[in-house]
Amino acid sequence: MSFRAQKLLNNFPSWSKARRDRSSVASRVFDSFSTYFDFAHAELVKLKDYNYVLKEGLGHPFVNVVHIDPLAFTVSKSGKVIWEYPTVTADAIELTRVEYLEDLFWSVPTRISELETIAIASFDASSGVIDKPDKLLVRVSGSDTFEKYHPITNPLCPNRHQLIISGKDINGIAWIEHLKIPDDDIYRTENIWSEIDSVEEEGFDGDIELWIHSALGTVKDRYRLGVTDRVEGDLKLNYSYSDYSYLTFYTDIIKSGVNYRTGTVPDVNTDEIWESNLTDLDGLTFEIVDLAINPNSLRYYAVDTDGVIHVYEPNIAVFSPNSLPYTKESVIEIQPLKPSAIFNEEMRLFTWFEKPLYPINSVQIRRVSPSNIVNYLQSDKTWGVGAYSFPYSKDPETALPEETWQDITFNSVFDEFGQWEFYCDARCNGTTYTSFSAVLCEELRSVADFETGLEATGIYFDHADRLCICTANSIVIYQEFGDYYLASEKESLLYLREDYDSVDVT
Amino acid sequence: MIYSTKKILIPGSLDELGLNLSLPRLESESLGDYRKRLLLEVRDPSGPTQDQFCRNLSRRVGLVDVPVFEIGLKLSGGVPLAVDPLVEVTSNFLRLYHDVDDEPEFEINLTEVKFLNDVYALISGSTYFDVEILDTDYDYKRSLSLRYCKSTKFMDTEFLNNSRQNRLTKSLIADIYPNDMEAFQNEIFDLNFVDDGDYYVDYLNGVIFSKVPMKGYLSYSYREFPFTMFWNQVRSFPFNDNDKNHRIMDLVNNDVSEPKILNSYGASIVNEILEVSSLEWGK
Repeated sequence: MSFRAQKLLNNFPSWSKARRDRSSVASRVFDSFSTYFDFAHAELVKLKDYNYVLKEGLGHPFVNVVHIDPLAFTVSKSGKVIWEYPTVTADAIELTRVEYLEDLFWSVPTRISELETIAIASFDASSGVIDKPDKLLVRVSGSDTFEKYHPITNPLCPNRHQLIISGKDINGIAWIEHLKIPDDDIYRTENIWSEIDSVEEEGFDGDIELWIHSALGTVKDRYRLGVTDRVEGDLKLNYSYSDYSYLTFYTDIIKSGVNYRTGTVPDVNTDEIWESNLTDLDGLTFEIVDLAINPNSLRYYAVDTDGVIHVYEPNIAVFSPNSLPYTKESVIEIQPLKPSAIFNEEMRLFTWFEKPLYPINSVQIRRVSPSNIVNYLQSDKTWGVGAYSFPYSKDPETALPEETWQDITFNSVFDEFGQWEFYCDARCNGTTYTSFSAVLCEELRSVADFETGLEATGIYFDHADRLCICTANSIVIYQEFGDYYLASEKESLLYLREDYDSVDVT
Repeated sequence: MIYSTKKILIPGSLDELGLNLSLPRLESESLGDYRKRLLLEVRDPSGPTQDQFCRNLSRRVGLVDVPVFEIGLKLSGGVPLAVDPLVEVTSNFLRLYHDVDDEPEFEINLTEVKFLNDVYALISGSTYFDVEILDTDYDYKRSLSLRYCKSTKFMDTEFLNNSRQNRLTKSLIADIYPNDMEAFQNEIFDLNFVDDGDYYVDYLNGVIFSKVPMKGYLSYSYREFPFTMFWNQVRSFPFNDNDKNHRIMDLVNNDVSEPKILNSYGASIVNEILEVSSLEWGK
């Protein structure tokens, strides 16, 4: 499912099913091509930083080339050339062939290797020498007020909200960075710091924390857009654990603290987009400790309490078409509180008498689980195998259509991964109108797992794009390897991603 | 069949930046190290001056100079004990002056005091200077690789606010060279201005006061403290540096010890120079 599809769907009216319901036909149609927009958006974000020396995501530095004998081939009856690719083994590792250059560089890593361990006296980087020079994590929290210029009440306010960080950069050169702070949030400094002399805040009154790294529970994905049917903004991820580890994708409703932090702060300022349950390569659960985003491949890397690193391709699942039929016209819709569910979550759903044109005789609500088990909502709002029809509220022979049905609420527990479908059969004047809606209890399974054996407290990618695992008093730096090769048939060349001592081609 | 591989560097955005900065990526250099080197060039650019040349030579071959010592001034009542402090590293010597017009407090021959831990042991007992260690691995680094430098610096152009008071970006000013002849006519040494054109300079804190509002810009020399001493991975020094004679000439004792005759090392260097250019030179 595409993040940017919602941006296109927001062109529809706010009451339309296309905009509200991600399981609708319109949403699925837009999803089919909007994933390319997600990809293009991420590439544009990277391109924006192309000439910036402090950018994230440095790319791949080199490729190794092997000149081989010309490859054998056969020609099929249709004239297509079929190449016979060799078996390539390098340093006793068999390499996997890829088709495209992008796959050579950015396919899932096949192994990791420990490079270096750096002892860390303290991960707190608020002042003094930083044991591992890096871009620092900044958390601003607890702000009550962001100062705003007013010609009468606050004429001297410069209308700037920033942190002024001074210290020394990675080369020991004295440097000052002005970090803009639009609101309480988690930020990363642009400069790579080796020593912090002072941190001053201007224009707001929140608490400031600087870390080399800390598992703060939230990660910002700057490469993707967070869009709901109401707002759009930066995509943020919250990671938690409950039976399964899960990610909550959300975005902020009000982006700028100066617009609402005026002494009182609303309780909730986030709009949830999606939730995904995380499993390892074998589909088993684990307890997540921290999450990081690879700035080159944009994959999510999670580390668990056993020190295992799980790698994810962040493609949110797409809703499937309905398994049972429904009518083109519907009278009563079922609206879930959210389109996605955490495993074992009990979620509230609502009926909505959308079109009170016809008087209701009876209503039946069905639920189809991912394993195709059909249950009916019973009179006591539990789910059962036997069909049950809710009666009308007032006699449809005499009452107005809108008086014949009173909307109800009910719960459903999502204890299975997959698409849960809800059908509402409304019988009116001898005709049955059936609506369809769905909730996805998504399982995001890792594409690679790597064991480190560490008691991990955090994971992140440092300024040189290296994978770093934090423990209580050290940072362990790993290098990722991709044992792949790309064959250039016409030039009789093999391109290898990594350095090897010897390459055997058979 | 066993094959050997050939590495091809893949050009990226950092290489494009490096092209603009005349710093190509080296074959075995990681992108993280290359970015660090480019950042150094951006924030501490190369240039034609002697100081810039000495600072920037190492990065051309992918090496980065290491800060080893930071020399600060000891204070008494907020005022430095040293009257006119100077730290200089020449081709062969490290000298620390509390007053430039006086004998140096320390004059260390770097060809004799071979390692930095010995240098630190000597200067850490200074009456006028504090010495802080910046590099924990400094002990057995060669002292002769200390960067050719001097703590006296020059600010070429600093614009002044149109005001009767201006605070300069640097402190410990040695001399100022203003271009506004109207405000800077007569230097006085207290704040009792009498005539237009009177001005007072707080040399310690880098603040200038004048009777008439200043404008334009000025240049000034200042003493850079705390002063960071770097250890060069690729070291250079001017060949006309006087102290160089201590390395390439033998001392001749005629009541006064003075370098006089080329020793074998000096002769080999001169021969190399003459091979390139046969013009007669020097003493």
